Amino acid sequence: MKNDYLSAGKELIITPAIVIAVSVITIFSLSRHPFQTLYYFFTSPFSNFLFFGNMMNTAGLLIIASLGVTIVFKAGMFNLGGEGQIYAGAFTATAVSLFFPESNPFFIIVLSLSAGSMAGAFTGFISGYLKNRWETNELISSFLLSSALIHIVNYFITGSMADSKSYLITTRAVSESFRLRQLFSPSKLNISFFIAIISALASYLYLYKTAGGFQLRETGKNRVFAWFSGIKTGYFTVISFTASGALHGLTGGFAILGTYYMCAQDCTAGLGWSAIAVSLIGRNNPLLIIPSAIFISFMDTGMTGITLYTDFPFELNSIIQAVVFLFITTKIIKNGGTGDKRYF
Amino acid sequence: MINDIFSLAVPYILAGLGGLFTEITGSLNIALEGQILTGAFWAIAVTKITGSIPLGIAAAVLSSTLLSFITAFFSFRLKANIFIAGLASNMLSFGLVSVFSILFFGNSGIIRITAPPGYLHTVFFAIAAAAIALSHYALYKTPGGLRMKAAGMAEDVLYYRGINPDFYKYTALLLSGVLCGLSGASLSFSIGAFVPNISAGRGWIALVAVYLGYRRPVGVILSCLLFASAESMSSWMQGVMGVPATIILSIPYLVTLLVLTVISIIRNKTKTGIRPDSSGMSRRNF
Repeated sequence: MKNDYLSAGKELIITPAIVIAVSVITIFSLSRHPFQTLYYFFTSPFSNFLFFGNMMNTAGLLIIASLGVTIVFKAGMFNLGGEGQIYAGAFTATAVSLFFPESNPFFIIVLSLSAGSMAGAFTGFISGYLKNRWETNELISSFLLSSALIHIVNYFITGSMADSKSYLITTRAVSESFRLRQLFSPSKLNISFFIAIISALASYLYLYKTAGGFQLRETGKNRVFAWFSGIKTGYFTVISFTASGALHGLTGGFAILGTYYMCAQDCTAGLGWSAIAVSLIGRNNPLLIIPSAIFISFMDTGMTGITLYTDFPFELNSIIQAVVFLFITTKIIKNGGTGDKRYF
Repeated sequence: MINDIFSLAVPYILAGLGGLFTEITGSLNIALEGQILTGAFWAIAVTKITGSIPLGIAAAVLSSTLLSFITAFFSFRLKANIFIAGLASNMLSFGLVSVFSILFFGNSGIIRITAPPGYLHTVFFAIAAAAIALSHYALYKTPGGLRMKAAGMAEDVLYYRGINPDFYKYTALLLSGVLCGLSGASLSFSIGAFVPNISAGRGWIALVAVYLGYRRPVGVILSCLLFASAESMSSWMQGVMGVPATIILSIPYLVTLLVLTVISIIRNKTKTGIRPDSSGMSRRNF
C-alpha cells in the first residue's frame, strides 16, 4: 500500500513531465508560431476565472466518471460502457427537468440528477447481471449496450425531443432555475466539483476502510478464492457495475445541469474515454484520481486555449491529445510498482 | 440478399482476423477502428492522386500497419498500457486523417474517386478468402502459430525456451495492421469514396466477433457473417419498414448483444465445475 503511493507519486511527477515534454515537441513541430502557442497552452488555463473555473468543472465531471471506472476495476472487471451511460444519464436528466414546471427547483434538480444516475445504473446493472448470471463478457456487453444507447438517445434528440428553433441538433434548454449556480462566474464551476471531491473521499473510505470494500477488492483479486472464503462474489459483481453506471449517469446529469444546460447531440462525447484514462493514470485509487483528473482537464483546457488564441488548427488538438495518451502510461523510467497490469 | 451479406462481411472478416491474431497473443488491440479508418482514407487519397488502385491498396496497408506499429511500439517496448495506447492510436488516426484530408483536398469531408471497376469487389472477396485460409494454416499448422498462441497463454514458457514472446506479439499486431488496412480499403472502394467516420464502429464489432467466435478463425468468420446479416437486415428495415435511421444504427449492436447473451447462456449450461471462476476472469480470456 505504502509502496503503491510511493511509486504512484513518482509516476505522478514523471508522467506529467514526459507528457509536457511531448506536447512541447508536438507543438513545435506542428505550429507556425510555436512560442506563442506554447505560451497560451500553459498559461490560458490560469489566465482568467473563466478558463480556470471550466478546467476545475471538467475535472469534477472526470472525477465522478472515473470513480465509476475504478469501482468496477477494483471488483476485477472493466466497464467500457461509460460513454453511453453518461450520455443516457445526461439525456434522462434533461428530459426530467424539461418535463416539470418551474416550481421547487431544489426538488427538481435532485429528481433529474437521480433520474440520470438511475438510467446509468440500469444499464450498468444489465451488464453486471449478465456477467453474474451467465458469465457474459462484461467488456463487450457494456460496450455494445452503450453504443446502442448512444444511437437511441440520438433518435430522441433528432426526433421527438428536438428543439425546432435551434440551429443545433439539441433538445430545448433547461430552464434557468434548474441550472446549478455558477460559483466562479462566468465559468461553469458549480457544486458538482465539490460533490466529486466528496465522492472520491467516500469511495476511498468505502474501498479501503470498510468490510464491504475489502470484500469487493478480494472479489477483484481472486474470484475463486473470494468465493471459497464465503464472500458473495455475485453480489459484488452486480453492485459494482450498478454503482459504476450510477456514477456515470450522475456525471451526465451534472454535465447537463451544470455545464451544457441542453442535451445537444454528442455533447458528452469523449468524457467516458477520458475517464478511463484518468482512472488508469490515477492507478485506480480514488485519491490519486483527483490530481490525475485535474491534469487531464488542464491539458484539455490548454488545448481549447490555443485553438481560441492562436492559429493552431482545431484538428491538430486530437493529435496532441493522442500523443499525450500514447506517452501517458509508458514506463520509460523503471520503477518498482508493476501497476494494475493484470487486465491488459 | 446472400450476395449482399457476403460483400458486407468482407471488411468485418478482414478486421476480425486481424483482431484474432492480437487476441491470440494476449493483447487487446482496440485500435482496429482507427486502423480501418486510416486504411480507408489512404486507399482513396492515394488512388485519387495517382489514379492507380493497386497503389491505393498498398498505401492503405502501409498506413494501417504503421499505425499498428505505433501501438505495438508503445505497449511492448515502452510498456504503456495497451488499452490507452490503442485509444491513442484511434485518436491519432482521426486527427491525422482530417489533417491530411485538409492538406490534400482542402476540406475534411467526403472524397470521391471515379467509380472503381466492378471486379474490385471480387478481388477483395478473394483477398478475404485467402486471408481466412492463410490465417487458419498459420495458426494451426506452423510453429509460428503455435508460438503465437503460447505468447498469449504462457509468455514465460517461450521466454525460458529462449524465444522472445514480444516478437510474436509485434508480429500479431502488425498483421492486424495489414488486415485492417485491407478492410478499410475494401470499405471505401466498395462505395468509391471516403466518408468521415466510414469505419462506424466496425473495428469494435470485429473485436466482438473475435470473442463471439471463441477465438477461432471459423468462429470469427461465422460471427462476421452474423454482423453482416444484421447490417443488411437493418438497411432492409430502413428501406421497407421506414424505421428511422438513428434507431437503425443501434440494431447491429443490440443484435450482437443478444447473440452474445444467448451464447453465454448455452456455454454456461453445458459447463461443469465451480461457478465463480468465470471464463472472463482468467488472465487471457479477456
